[in-house]
Amino acid sequence: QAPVAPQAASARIDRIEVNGNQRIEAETIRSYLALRAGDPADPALIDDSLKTLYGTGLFADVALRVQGGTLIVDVVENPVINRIDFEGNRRLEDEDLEREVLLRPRTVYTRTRVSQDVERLQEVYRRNGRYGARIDPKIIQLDQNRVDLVFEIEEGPRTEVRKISFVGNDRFSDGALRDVVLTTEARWYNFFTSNDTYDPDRLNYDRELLRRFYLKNGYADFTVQSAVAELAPDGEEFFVTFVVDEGERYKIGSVDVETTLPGLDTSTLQDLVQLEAEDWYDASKVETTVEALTTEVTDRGFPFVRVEPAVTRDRETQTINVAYQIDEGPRSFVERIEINGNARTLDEVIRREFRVAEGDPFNAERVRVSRDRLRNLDYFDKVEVTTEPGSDPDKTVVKVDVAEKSTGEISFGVGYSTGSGPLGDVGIRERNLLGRGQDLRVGFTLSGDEQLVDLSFTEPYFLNRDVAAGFDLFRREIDREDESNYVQKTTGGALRADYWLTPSLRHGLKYTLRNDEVTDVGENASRFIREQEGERLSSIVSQTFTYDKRDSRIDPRSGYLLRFTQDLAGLGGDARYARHRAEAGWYYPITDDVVGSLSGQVGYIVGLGDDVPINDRFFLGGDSLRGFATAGVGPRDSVADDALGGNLLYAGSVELGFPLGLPDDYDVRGRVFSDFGTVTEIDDSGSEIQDVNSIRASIGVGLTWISPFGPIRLDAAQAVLKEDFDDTEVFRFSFGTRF
Amino acid sequence: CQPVVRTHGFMPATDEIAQLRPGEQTREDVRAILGAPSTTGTFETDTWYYIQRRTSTIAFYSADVTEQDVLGLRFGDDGRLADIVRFGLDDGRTISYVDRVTPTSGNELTVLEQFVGNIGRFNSEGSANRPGNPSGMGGRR
Amino acid sequence: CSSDNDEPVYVERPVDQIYNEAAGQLDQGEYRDAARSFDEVERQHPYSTWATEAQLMAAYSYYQANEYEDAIAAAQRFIDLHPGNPNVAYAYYLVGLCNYERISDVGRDQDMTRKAMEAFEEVVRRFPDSAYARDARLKIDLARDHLAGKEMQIGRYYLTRGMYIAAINRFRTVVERYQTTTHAPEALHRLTEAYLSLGIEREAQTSAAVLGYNYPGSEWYEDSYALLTGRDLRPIEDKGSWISRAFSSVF
Repeated sequence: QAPVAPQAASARIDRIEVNGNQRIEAETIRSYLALRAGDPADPALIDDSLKTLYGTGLFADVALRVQGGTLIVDVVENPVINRIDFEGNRRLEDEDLEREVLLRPRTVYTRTRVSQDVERLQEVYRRNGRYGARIDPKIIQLDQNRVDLVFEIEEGPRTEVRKISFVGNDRFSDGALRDVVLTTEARWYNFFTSNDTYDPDRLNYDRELLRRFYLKNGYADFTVQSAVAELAPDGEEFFVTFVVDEGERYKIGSVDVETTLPGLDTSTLQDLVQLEAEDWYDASKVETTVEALTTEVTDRGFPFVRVEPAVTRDRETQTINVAYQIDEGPRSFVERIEINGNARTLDEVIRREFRVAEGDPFNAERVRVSRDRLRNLDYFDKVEVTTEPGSDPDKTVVKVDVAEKSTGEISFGVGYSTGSGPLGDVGIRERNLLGRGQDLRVGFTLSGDEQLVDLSFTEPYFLNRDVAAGFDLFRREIDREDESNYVQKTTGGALRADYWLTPSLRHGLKYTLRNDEVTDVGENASRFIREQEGERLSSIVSQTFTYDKRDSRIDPRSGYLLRFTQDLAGLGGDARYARHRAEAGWYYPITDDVVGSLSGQVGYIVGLGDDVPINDRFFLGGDSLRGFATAGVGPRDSVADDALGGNLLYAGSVELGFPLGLPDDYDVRGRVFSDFGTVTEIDDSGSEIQDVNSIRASIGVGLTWISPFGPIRLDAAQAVLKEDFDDTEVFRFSFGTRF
Repeated sequence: CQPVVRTHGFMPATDEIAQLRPGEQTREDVRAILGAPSTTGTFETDTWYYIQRRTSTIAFYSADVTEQDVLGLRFGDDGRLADIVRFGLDDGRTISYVDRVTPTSGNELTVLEQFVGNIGRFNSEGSANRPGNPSGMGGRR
Repeated sequence: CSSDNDEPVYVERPVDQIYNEAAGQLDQGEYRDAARSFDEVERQHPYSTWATEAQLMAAYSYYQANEYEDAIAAAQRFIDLHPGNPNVAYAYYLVGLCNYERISDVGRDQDMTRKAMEAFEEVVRRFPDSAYARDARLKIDLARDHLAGKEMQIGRYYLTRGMYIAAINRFRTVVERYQTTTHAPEALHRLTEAYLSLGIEREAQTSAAVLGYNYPGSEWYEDSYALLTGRDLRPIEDKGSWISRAFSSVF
């Protein structure tokens, strides 16, 4: 039995003496000690006191010793920082570096904190692709134990990636794999991208991208054996090499759906399965199938469903068998939905997007759908939905963390279009008014021949229902001198509401009250236009059916859109007519980048008891029929050469969009198209009216460049089928920037 | 046109409810069969409630309740299931909720602040609210 | 504040001169300048007795200038450097105040409310009998009342949309965890509304009885009573239920 270590005769401490402190009161130092006057001098407590004093970071040096009855505490205080400066930084501003550094003036200088800050600065430079940056801190001693801290920085050159090469890839070329990974090779014309620098995190992400790409193409055994970036001897360039082992390509052997849920007939689920026997194996399709099955089975009344894909590999026959096992997961419930970070958006504006309420069964799929709905609101930079265990094992708390972004826009548009000359517009828009999710927009447009002031307000959940209701007010002045020899002034307002008739068919109702004025009619204007001079009140009720199955509204590449609109004017007001318009668009991705599209529209208006006013007739030309001037097609007064518009319109366009081979950082797309259509039938009659119901057509090419300054559109079209009295126009250009 | 159908809450399957044996099962047994209750009585804490409600909404009309099902399980002092009670849609009453609200204070965002404070210059560290007066909570100074 | 662009030119000046200048600015209400001058005192003369005082005055000036983050940082620095100083209670109190005044309405994130409560609880814990503790206790209650208000807001959101489970559980949280707040009576009435909507009359009767027993004069009790009598029911309190015993013990 080891002898117990002899205990020093524990002398009592009757006094604690502190010296060496300048700024920090002795009282404060005593408060950190583990001993008080009168306690025994227990070495363990002395040792603790030493550690706590060091732990405060206030002292460069601490010494404790017991002499007679006195505990002597000798301290050397760390100096206080007077000022912090950065020298030699050109690429990064002082403010950027300031944010990274934890030390602040008037805080205590310690060696550990300085080296941590140096490490942070190193990290910032590494993130900006400068691995050669060297940072060393310099101290300038001042009186009263103060120091100035200066970070001397040598930024060094940008370490770019010169070459990316692959080893072991037989099935796919180096070029194809280079498109898969995010890191790009540095080229002189690539001054937009920041992906051409070496970044270890991005390199790991590239490994993941490669893995997903191969799994998508059936290479179930694919592995990235190594991803190495060697620094060239001159220390300025990196050579990245990926060594991959592709393995064999697998086909699908058998696919089946099994379930332990009573009353679930798996045969009705077969059409949801995206991979059949003999298809090439594709990991991403397995995932989307699992999601589709989960959603479908949940909707059929099994809230706790869990779908597990059992993937078994048969190396000899290189086939993969997939069995989707559908059974009941644990019965977990949503205890609370806690929303954080909404400093401006109201809690209910976020909560109402949730497809699951507190007390409902916990369903990961529905939570994911809710998160996507929140992201589509576009009020937030970041939306994270995480789950935490609740008060009981079968209860889950859903935590929603949002980082709001500015949803207000002041936009100044400057542009030029051959159609209407120079164009300027100012707009103020707030998409999340007062955090209530309402959209308010005020716009002023000024162009060569059009001035427009409009205000529109929308409440997306009118009366707490899934109904988007709102109103618009507008005042428009259009100078139609060159095509129809008059000026149109329109003032009016509208009330509108739209909602879902079925999960994919949207229906909208709208009432518009509008006062149109035809003024400044030229003397030699067509007599039909002179007849229209004066004011006219229109009171119009309209409805719209929209069936939108496109993949995106801004740049559709697949899917189709059908829209049918009916306007009935005559409940009061002067105008009496019924107008029907149908519109369809169909988009087909021929390859990932090349998109074919076919669109068409038909419009027919009929006066109820009197003629159709000119402002409501159909016009064709300009953007709606490229190759022809604005209102260049349709009934025309040959004497006055004024376009009169027509009651029947049908038009269409076939287009093929493709990239121009420039790197996609440039976002330039070319197109080849043919527009066709006509406008005909007019209530007025007279010898000077020329109206031929023949198809006009044009063929042309164009391109759109989404430049950093704004979208630039260029179209050149040649009219091939036309009437001699039509107005043609070869070239259309428009450029607009918003900032 | 198809209505949008929404189901909230959870009602165990009828064959599971059929397995309930008043007088025998404890809370743990019941929980093992049916899963956790939607809520327990606030005051009658000896009672568990399983509640499910289904609504269907067409176009802009207000949602109408197609199913409202409440299963109440009361446990005796011996901790065993005492009796089972069931409420349906017709037991529920449509109530016009009192629209009075107990007042609270705190910073309300004004329109001007929203526009000025928000466009472009949005400081995302979360302390973007405006100051209040020293005494009141989030009042205006 | 080293990188402020309008930083005064760095001139070495005697400490009392800077201090008095700062105090003068404070009197004229130029809080931001006062704060900067007090910072200068501490920067140039960190070891003078003035520095400690200046640090606290800088925090107070930033607070008056509504520069809450800077005020909290200055107060926190004072606490770190002078934990033993008699004025440290004020520094803790100031941190609480800076958060308290940024509490947002119940429709939004209550992060500030929680931070204010934590800071004030720290004041009450460390300096229980100081003048600051008395005000801190008052503000803690108000902050708690505010959190109860948030629970009610979400409860009403679910109630008006017919999601009764969610509503009941939220109102229960107020009844059980925020019993002493001004929202308790409304929570009890909302429970009566929710339970009646589901047809669970016994619960509705008990919650109305508890409401009547504890808040006899409140308008909410009149509403509950009207709801029940409208359905020829009387508020009968089941004496045995745990919650009514809990309530009677509190009042």
